[in-house]
Amino acid sequence: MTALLSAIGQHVEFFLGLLRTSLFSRFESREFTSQLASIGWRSLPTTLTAGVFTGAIMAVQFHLQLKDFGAEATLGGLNTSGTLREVGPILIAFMLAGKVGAFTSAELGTMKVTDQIQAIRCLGVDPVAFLVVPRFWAVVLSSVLLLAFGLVVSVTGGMIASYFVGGVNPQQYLSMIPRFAAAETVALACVKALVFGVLMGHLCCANGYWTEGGTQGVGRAVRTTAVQSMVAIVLADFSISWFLNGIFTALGK
Amino acid sequence: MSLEGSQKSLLISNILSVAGQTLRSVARGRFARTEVVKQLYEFAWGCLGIVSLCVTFTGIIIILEYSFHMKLILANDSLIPGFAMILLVRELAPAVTALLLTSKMGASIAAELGAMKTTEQLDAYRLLGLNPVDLFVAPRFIASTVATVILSVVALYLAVMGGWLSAVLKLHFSTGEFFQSLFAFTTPSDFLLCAVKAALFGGSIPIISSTYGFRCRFGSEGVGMTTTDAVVANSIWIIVLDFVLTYVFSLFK
Repeated sequence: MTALLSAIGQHVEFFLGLLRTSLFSRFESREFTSQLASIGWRSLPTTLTAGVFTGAIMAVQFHLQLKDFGAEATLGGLNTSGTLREVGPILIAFMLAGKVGAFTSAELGTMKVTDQIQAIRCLGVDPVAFLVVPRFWAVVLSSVLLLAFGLVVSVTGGMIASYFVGGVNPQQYLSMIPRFAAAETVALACVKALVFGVLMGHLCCANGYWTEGGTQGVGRAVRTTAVQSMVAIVLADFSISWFLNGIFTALGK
Repeated sequence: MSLEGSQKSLLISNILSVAGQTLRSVARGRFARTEVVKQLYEFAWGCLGIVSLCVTFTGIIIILEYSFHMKLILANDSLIPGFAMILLVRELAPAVTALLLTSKMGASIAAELGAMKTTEQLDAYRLLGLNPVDLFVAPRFIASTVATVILSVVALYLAVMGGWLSAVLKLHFSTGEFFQSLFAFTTPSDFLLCAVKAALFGGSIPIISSTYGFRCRFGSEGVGMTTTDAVVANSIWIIVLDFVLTYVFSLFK
């Protein structure tokens, strides 16, 4: 219990340190841009595949369920709303935790165990400001953008799958979307993307920065990042849905 | 079994060759028996907590998220819990379990074998006339297949309980309504699909991860990169296979 509390404390401290450094130190915009390009661009194919298949899987599943009620016409609406609200953010974020998060923590961890971070400190430069902060913001921004991109792609994937599997034509599919996926669905997806991005950025930077113990330590850091990100994503997903749905109900939606 | 100096373009043939050797090793019974028990403990017991936590929260949230939109489609309100839960049986219980196992166990297999490769321990085993596939891959293959099925079933049970709690407490269904609609929709074939998915996902995790481990390049960056790539490849494969299995299932339904 004490260990858990102190671990949580370390994370909070690291996160506050990140925010403080990004506010008060010079922002390394060149490092940020290059990280954004490498992280974001490299993850595009992964996100594309994950998005298309998530949408397609859900379309096949929902078609199977709606068939019994003869309600295939509403497939577009139900699938889009279901994918945007819940399954899409979770599955695509899982994929990004493995790709973006693990990549960044492997990089930082390798720098740590090969004493490159110490070397930077010896040069009188703050490694957090120079290496960690630009990576953190690059991961946050690219996760948010990639998650949004993945969700848009998943709608397309769902549309394609419904056409070939369920015989629902794309026009009918699209026409059903506004009836089910209103502004609050999109808002929910955006909030989820933002929160997941911050969580992934923090966890991969913290675990990478804390890496110890040589080559095996890097492997361990990558694994810890992936597992912690997934647990954090599921818990955050639950809390966001719970609270935002409460708010929407209170607003009378 | 010589994967040294292999090119990136040979990835798929490497995976297939490791898969073939693993199956042969299992069929001929040449794998390390005690390692199976040890790995089964690692997989099943080591991941029980995280898998139960994540899938239970998914179960709770899925019914909250979907009840609103399903009210628009189904005239009969009392069918909603079963309608939401069937998605958990067919899709989310095996997929989420497998994705979690990928980032925990898949990453650790890749890191372990990658570290062995770069420190030339694998070569040492080969010099002794021992096949690394018999020693490491085949036991993990068996353990992972069995453990993923067990974990999905346990996780499914807990998730249904979570869904029941939120249906009763938050959505004001009665316990009778919940279980009646649950059993009205789910058939034995759905549970069979869940088990088949879990077994295939579970079997592919060690094979893909160890292929990446065998291909690990020398150097401290190697292991981190290998681990990341293994997790990403596994996740993509799981989501693609998931789509194929779901589609095949929908043809017979």
